[in-house]
Amino acid sequence: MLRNRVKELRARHGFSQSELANYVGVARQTIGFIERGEFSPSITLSLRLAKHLEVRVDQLFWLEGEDLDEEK
Amino acid sequence: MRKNDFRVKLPLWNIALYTILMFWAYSVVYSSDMLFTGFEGVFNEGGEFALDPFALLSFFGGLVLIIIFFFAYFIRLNRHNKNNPTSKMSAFTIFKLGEFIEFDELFSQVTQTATKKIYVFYSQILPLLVLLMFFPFNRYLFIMVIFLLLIIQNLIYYRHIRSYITN
Repeated sequence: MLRNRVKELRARHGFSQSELANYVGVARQTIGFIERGEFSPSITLSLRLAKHLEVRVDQLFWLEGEDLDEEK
Repeated sequence: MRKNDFRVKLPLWNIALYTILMFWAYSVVYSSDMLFTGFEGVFNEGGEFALDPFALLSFFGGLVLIIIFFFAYFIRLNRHNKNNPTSKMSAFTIFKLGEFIEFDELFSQVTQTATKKIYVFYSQILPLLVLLMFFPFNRYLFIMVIFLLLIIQNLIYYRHIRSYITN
């Protein structure tokens, strides 16, 4: 399963789900589904999210069971 | 994407139209029956007019309902196109139906899974319809059943899309 830090980083930047959705060009619901791990975004959308949340993609998404290394 | 978005509600509009057409089809079947039987039954033995009153109600009532439906439909469609200039819908489409929501990758996937459900539904139900057609029922019954399948199809689609919109 794909894990992520979208919710945490979104909150850190002070974005609402709708704001982040508008920045990356998706529906608000899509952000909610990604945050809950119920939808795996494409590479394109992952890159857009990472850009707006100012992290690398591998710091935003990782596979369950693999450690997240923020210092990568 | 809001749950009141016209694209989300479109299957409900389709259901309304099919329900009206089910009612109207009674008079169309009745009229064509008369046409192909030399207007037999239009006059009774006494030479008086003997039309089925329900067929008359179905024809004129159905026609009024169809006019009201399309009037409301075009108003709603114009409002949607005015409020959503980047995702305008056309009144009549053949290949890209208005209810196909492909706003982003999640909804493209949701639309795909909804259409997959419809595919499964028809794969299961059409052989049963063929079985029903072996019996000598009035053809109005088959028309009703086909409209009913279209209504169920739209209900399946609407419920699936709505579950993602409201989540």
